[in-house]
Amino acid sequence: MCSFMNKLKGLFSGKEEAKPSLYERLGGQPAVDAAVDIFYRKVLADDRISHYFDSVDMDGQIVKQKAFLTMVFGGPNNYSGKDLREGHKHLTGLNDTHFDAVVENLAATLTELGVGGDDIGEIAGIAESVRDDVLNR
Amino acid sequence: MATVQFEDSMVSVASGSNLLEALLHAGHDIPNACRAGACQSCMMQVLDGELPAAAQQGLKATQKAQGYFLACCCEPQTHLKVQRNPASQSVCAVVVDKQLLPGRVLRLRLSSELDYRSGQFVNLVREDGLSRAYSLASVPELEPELEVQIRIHDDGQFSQWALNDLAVGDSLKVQGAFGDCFYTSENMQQPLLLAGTGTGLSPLYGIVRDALRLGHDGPIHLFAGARVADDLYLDKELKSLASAYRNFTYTPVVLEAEIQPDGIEVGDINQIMKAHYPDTKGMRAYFCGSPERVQKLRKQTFLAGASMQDIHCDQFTPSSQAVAA
Repeated sequence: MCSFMNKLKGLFSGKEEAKPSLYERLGGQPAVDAAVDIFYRKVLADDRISHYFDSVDMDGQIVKQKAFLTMVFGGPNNYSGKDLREGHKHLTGLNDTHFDAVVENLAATLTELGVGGDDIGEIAGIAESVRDDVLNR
Repeated sequence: MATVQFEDSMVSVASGSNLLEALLHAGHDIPNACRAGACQSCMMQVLDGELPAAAQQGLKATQKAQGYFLACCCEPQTHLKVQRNPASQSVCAVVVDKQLLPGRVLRLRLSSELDYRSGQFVNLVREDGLSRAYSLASVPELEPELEVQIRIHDDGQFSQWALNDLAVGDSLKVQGAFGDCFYTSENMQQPLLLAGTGTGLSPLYGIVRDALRLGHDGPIHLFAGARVADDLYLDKELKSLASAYRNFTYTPVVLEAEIQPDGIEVGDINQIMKAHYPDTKGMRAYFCGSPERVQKLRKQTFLAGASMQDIHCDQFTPSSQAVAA
């Protein structure tokens, strides 16, 4: 947890000007587009959480997941804690196990895409920072 | 109750009603079919004001960003200024040919000046306003007339009228063309996978011929499903297409058969397609037919590796009038 916080501090301190941002390093929006199919396929195949994602509106699901991936990749997004609370409030029974499963699938997606361990840690850290908003507590 | 400015007029939308009803009631000619947010025929564009979220439910991000919304799902809370969907046309068409195909399918050929892509759909509108959405099986570059294939339902208001009363020489109004289920030639080597049941075959027939006409290089495989062999209403046309083009394969599938018919597979079309293509990575897919069928095909194809942006679907939703009839 401590290393997460340090990484988060590094991410948001803005002191390392020469270093491109996490989002830039990952490849920007094309990287999100490449990740979304793999990530969505993984969550649909994961019995722990698939029921939260198994909508008849698959195009709508893709749109939401692109927004999520853009956020955790450190890219431009307009999510607020309130949005995340509102957006997940109706999902009954949502708890830490489900959140962990999403983070796990996210990490597996990134590994599959060849993203390095440090960057995966940074991304997981951003995801971790919204856990309480998503779980509405 | 809120007011909406449309063209040069102002309409009031009563609470519990919607913008489509209010515009039709005020005498405006607005394309529409399902009135349930599925067919997207009544799509309009907002110029000013705040839309209720329900009016944009299910639209693609690109459409929302342009202010597109569905009039049938729009119960405005505040004043809006809206305009017609600039893409929609309304033209007159004359019936030039009428033919009953196997499987209780009526083929109509209509002469008209409509701009469209093969596989898109139109609304056919009778003089009294009764309208239904049908996909276009014709290819504008190959034949001058529009072709629609209409499933005859015993209690179908429109299909019974088309079968019994509509005659060659009569005219109809055509609104459209709608939908984004059509062939695009950006990747001519990509394998194409198509599947449809019933008259879901009609847009696929157009899409396949459009792809072949444009010289698509990759393999094209069409699965056509019907309950029994006699209902495979484009069997002859598709077989001759398959013998004319080396890269086109046609697999007819029936649900029921007492003895294994020659050249036809028996069973569930989803399972049969899956057995042929356990891995769909890199493929482009087109699925048309009932919503349940199309949703299952889309999901299984996505899980088997295809990218969501390569899966194109056209769901045939019964109109609310048809359900009520």
